[in-house]
Amino acid sequence: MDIGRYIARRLLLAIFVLLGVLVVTFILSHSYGDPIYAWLGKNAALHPNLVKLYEDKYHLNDPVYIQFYYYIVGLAQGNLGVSPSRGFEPVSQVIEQTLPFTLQIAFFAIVMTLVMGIALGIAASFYYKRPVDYGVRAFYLAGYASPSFFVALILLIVLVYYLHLLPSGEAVGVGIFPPHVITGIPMLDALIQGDWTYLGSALQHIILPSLALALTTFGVVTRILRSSVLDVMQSNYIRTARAKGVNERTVFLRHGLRNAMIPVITVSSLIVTFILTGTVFVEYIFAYPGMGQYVVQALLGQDFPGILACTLIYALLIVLTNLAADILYVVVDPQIRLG
Amino acid sequence: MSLITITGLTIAYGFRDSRLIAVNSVDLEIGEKEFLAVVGESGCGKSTLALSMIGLLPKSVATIVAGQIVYKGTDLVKLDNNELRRYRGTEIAMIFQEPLTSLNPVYRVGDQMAEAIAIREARTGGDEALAGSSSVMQEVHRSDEVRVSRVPRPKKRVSSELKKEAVDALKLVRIPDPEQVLERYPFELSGGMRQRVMIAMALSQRPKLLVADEPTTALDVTTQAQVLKLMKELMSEVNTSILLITHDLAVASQVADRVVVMYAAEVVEDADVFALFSEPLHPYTKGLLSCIPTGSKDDTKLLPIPGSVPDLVNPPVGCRYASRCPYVMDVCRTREPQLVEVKPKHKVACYLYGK
Amino acid sequence: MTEKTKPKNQMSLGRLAFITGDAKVRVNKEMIIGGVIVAFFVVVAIAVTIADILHITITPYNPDTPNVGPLFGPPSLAHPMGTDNLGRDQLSRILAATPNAVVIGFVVVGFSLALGLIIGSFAGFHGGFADEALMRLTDIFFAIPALVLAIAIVAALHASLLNLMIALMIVWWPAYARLSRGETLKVSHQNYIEAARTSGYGSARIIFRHVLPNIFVTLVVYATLDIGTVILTYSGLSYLGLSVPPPAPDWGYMVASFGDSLLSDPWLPLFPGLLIAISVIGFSIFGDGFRDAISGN
Repeated sequence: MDIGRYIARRLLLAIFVLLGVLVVTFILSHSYGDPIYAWLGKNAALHPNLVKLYEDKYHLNDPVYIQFYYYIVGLAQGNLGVSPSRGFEPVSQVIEQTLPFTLQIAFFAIVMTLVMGIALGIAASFYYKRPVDYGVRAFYLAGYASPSFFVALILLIVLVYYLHLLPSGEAVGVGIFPPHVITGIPMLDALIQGDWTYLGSALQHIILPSLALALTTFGVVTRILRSSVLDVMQSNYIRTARAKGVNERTVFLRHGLRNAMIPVITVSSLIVTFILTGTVFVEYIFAYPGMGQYVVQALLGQDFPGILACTLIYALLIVLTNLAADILYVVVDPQIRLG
Repeated sequence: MSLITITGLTIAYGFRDSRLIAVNSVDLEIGEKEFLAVVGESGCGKSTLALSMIGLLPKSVATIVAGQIVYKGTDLVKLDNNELRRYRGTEIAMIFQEPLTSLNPVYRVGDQMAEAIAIREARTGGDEALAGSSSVMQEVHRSDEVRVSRVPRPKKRVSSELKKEAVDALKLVRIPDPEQVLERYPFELSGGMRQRVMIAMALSQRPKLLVADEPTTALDVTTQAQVLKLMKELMSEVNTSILLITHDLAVASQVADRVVVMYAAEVVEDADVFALFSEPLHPYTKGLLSCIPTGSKDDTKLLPIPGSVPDLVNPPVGCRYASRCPYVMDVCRTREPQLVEVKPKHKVACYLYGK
Repeated sequence: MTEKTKPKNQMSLGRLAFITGDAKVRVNKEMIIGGVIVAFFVVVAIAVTIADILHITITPYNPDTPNVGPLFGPPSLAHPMGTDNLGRDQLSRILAATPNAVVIGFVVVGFSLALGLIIGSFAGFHGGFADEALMRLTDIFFAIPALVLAIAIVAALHASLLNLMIALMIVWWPAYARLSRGETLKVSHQNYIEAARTSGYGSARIIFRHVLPNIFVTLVVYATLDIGTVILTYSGLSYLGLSVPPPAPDWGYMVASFGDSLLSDPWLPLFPGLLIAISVIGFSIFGDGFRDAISGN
């Protein structure tokens, strides 16, 4: 029973990976021409006093390894530079405002992805080589192959403009005030405080963007679950369960599904990467005020500090989900726990 | 009195353009408290026969074309899957060739045994819904948590009873330290241990018939002997008939009361174990016996059977052994011999005997 | 049964068969459907490129000439995919942009395949520090979404097709290195590798003669499936304006620039988006079929 050591090892690895990501962003910060651009953007020269401040603080005129040291120290203090595309607001503040919205979208997108992916994966395996199976496969292939911006556009046309089913743009309806900050994630705060007006409106606004992401991502789950269910249901322990007289529903739910879900955990990292990538487009198209929208804005405004900060935050999110997946593995598959 | 009577059973594997008859009009009878062995080469249909008895043939490819499997007056062939399920485990149990993969890797041994026992209890208690509810598997887990957190739960009594029975079942198959083993995951146990767990789990459901499909093939020789000895001993301790499927005539001779020899999807000989070994009638049985190394210096006895098993998609006319038989006659190539009782309790399908 | 009746539609895989010994590939439905789609895009890409070099127009109209049709003209016989805000023929523009997607797909995957094979097989074969270093490096790359990292790189390099390609190559190869490392580990415990080692052959020789040929097929199968993913990522970057500068046509950018005319003239963003999806589907289906054929499924 060495769960402690296993998790400690994973944690160490995660920290190492984050350090590596810092090296990558540090290298990138030096590739924009003058390193000062990475803190103030291309028009740094307009703010000579800021230039002076940052050059001193981050030792930008010293050798690279000294700069790296102060880079890490600066990041550890939460300083990510200022964002020219947002009127020289500190990047950390922009992240603080936008990240909660991206987390909201990602959460709902992951839930929808899993629900759709698992349901359709099971359906396809149940109706193996029958019309349902072919239908599901065509559906997920189309979803996977379509760029998320394309799916978002189609949803926008059909559900918003033609059917008028859902609102679009922003995170909530006009004139609805956000709840008091507790966790920093507006929908969660609204839920805690029972602010149903906000929550209701926010839910309406989040369906479209997260649906667009789920439609392009659920195929990853469906595809792997379909084949692993087919695999597992052929296995000898399923035959044993049947031989014991376990009814077919229990055989599938208790003996089959749990084993079949293990490969799905393996691709969790891929799913999160897909969804985070998709938020960049989807938030932009639906004008959802998250980090993805900020990345595009930063890109268009040559806002290097913003781009670098978002790169870091996305990496942090992925590393954290990988860690979560590693721990989930331990819960689901005893062989990892003990083997 | 016979427990199960199979008559004219024919099972086909259907592939698109070719149909393979894996079991061809087989008659078989298993008595109460009888240890019967079915012997044959791989591909002779003996495993298919075994699976058909608990309705676990792969539905998509295999179909029972004709025949009956009458168990206690009910024809199992006519039952649908859900009705058949009520016979599985508690009436007819089965253990398999692959002990390494036959237990669910993500559940503890104790949970899997508890599930089996709970199914039996639910059936004897007449409430099968209980066994179907998904809480049963978690019962044992929950009782563990209870012990740790010291919160009394109403279910605790039930699950500790299940646990006690599981321990008893493991003791029955001579597993040392059964309480420990209940807490283990299958992959922490050796192959021999896993097969013992499989046997214990099957017996814990108190079946009338235990079908064992090559239970020792995947095990090493010493473990093989132990498991066989155990099965023989258990016969007298529990009220169960055993049907042993094996390719190894030597294995059958060690444990079985009666032996049925199958060749190319058909039964060719059916006799008391002593009669079969002292006086084998069918040329194929004779051939098999001369393949067994006896350990004597007379090595010339070790003779392989010439030729190969006929194609079951297009089986030959007449006796299927004809092409390999040293005593082949003209009639063998035109008409198929029937299984007839040529001596008391000794049946054979061969024209050399009777008419 | 399987031995006697040999499937009729067998073909040997040419070079691949030479490399793997006996890789007989059963051509399946997926390979044919996907192959037709892939072939269409490849042929169009080659034709357009050649025509471009020869300064002739083989698309129905010159893709850059305005007013060949009405402004915002809906699909018609003369203009099957309509005309855009400047009256340019959309079909011609979409066809003219085909080489971008095809070239990026093949070049990025080809480069990643080559580099990944070399680095991955070396690390897997030697183990130790080289292996550990590679694995940690790929861990780092996997932690950053390819698109986001590519955005950061292109932002540093200025937007152009070449820079986009370079950015994608930088972020794309680690997956191949990791895959070939894994495959190398699988084969390097095989008897023939051990035999080569005990015969005292140098590791470069063993890698090139024995390891690479054996892991090559697995990687090619993965690469075939992967071209679609590259095109998808590329179209995303193009959507953000990181590809060829306008007025040159590019699929992703066409969707982006007509996103606003969605209601009034839906064909303008729909057709380029559809083309992206179809090309990705083509590569995916073909790759799936190819994999099934190789694994004898």
